[in-house]
Amino acid sequence: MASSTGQPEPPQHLGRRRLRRALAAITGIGLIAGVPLLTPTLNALKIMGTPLGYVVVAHGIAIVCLLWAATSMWISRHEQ
Amino acid sequence: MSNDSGSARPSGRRRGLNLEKTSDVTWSIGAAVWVAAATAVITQGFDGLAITLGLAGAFLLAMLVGKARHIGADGDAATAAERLLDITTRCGLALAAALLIAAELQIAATAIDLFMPGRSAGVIIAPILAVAIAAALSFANPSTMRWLRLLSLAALLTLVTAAVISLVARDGPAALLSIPAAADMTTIEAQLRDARLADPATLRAHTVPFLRTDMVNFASLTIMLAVGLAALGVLLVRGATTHAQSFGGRQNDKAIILAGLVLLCALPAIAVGAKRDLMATFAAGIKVASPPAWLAEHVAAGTVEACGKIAGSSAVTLADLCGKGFGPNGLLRWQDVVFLRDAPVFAASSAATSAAGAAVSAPWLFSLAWVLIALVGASVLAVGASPLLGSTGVARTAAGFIGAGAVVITASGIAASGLVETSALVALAAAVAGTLVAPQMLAGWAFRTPSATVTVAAITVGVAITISLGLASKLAPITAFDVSGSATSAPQSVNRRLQTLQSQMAAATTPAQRTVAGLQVRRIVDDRITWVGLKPSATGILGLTAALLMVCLGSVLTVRR
Repeated sequence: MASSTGQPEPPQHLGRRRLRRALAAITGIGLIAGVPLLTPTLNALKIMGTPLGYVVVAHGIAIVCLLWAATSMWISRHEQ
Repeated sequence: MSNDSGSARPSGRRRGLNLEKTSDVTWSIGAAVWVAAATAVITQGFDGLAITLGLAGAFLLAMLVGKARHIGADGDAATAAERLLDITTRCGLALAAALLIAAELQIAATAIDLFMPGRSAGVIIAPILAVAIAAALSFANPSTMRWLRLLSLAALLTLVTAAVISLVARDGPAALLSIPAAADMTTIEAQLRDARLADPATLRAHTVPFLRTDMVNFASLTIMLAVGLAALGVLLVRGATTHAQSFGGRQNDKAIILAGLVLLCALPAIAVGAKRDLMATFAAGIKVASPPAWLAEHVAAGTVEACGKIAGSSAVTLADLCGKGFGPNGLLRWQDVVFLRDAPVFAASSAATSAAGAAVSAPWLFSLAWVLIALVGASVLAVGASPLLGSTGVARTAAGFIGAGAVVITASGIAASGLVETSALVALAAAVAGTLVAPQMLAGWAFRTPSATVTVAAITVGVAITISLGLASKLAPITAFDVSGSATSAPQSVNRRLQTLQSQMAAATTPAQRTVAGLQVRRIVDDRITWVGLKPSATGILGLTAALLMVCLGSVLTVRR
């Protein structure tokens, strides 16, 4: 596999990259599966009259994705 | 299957997140996933957020995981087992695509029926249009195809912008963050109960979690949607871009990603706001004799069951269905109207637009936009999933078009049968794709040279389990009810009612009588069938688990030998 700079990647880096991706995938799945479980607890708090747990599940992860994507785009634009 | 399209694309990414794949996911979801997510939020409250959350997870996984390697054999598959793996992967992807395309066609058919009321006109027109667009995508000039997709994106953005503006105009900017409409609903529910316009049993608290499902089902559905939609997007759109070389416009990636993510953030607020306005319309009083225009359209299109009946022709009115002197003071009650197919989204949007004070001057434009988005999405998926495309082939060949056409026609059959709801089709498509892709990725990560034979066996068993458990309740509801063990835990009254309906089906003299009895059977068992505690829409996790276990065990045994 070539690295993002086009240079051949040493085998040990390849292994680390695979591990990072596997961990990232597991973390991502854990996040989306785990957050709703907190809803009953979070719903005790309200934000402008709406239960907080509901707002977090409805918006939380989507907003995280949006922020990550926007940040990554901004970094990518300024690196080029 | 050639795996590394990344090398064929100019990458704008240096480090960090993998935005190209996120763009592919955004392209692949067409209208079906958005509409299914909104319908689920409107009809199920908190529990319906599983689809929204699964979609967010798909974006997240596409960003985090990177290139989908180890999927299918490479184009230069050397052994018979590798060729078999390649063929199995292609067929599995075509099946997943057909299920998702069927969902798109159902959305398009509902929208067509709403602005062209006629019995099942949409079921006939939508597939014809989808095949025509797939043909255009296969044969036309690449720049023409890019314009088609940009038109679809423009339609989606227009719909979203209109929804966001109407929501913000009504509730202020906070509407997009704190969802105040959910809090308003509590008051409206009380008004409905006080005015005897709703049966308390039919009102479910919108924000209370796990009323219709439990945590395990919720998490299983979310995980399968996240894994499956990410896999479908990456593999199918990649197929379309690689082979058709048509959707070129990678420069549009960033705009597409941002549009998709903004829509994802706004979707729950839009859906909840629309549901609040729909409930408020009922609370204000809908006279059976003079319903609002949008409700009359739904009655004519046959997308609502009013007072337990569905209009048999477009000339039938609400008063014909419910009878004069119906309800308290001639007013329609919340439980008297059941929106069928994907109509809750269309009805709630119309109610929200009316409540916002905007004139619903051209509802056909709204429907037309959804038709366009759904059909372009379906056609792109068909071209990407065409099983006749080789790794070195191009879509501008008769074989490519025939393959795409075959996928669309299969999907049309599924959609025309009307057996499976859009949300269930989306869940099943994601489950098949997830079961197909995740074991191969695991084998690629964990074992340097995974056995192709083991992988083929694992994904075949996994997909078979997923399809069987997902569709059993639709194709053979009574058998599934018995075999799953749900019958033993059901109340005696339910079993007696099912026996009566079975007798009616056996004694039916016309197909219509059999259909009515069959529909009642499905309604009774749909919410009751569970497999090892999992509802049919969440059983994909069982197929995936079986496939993962098989691939791990098989690979370990193969390596040791």
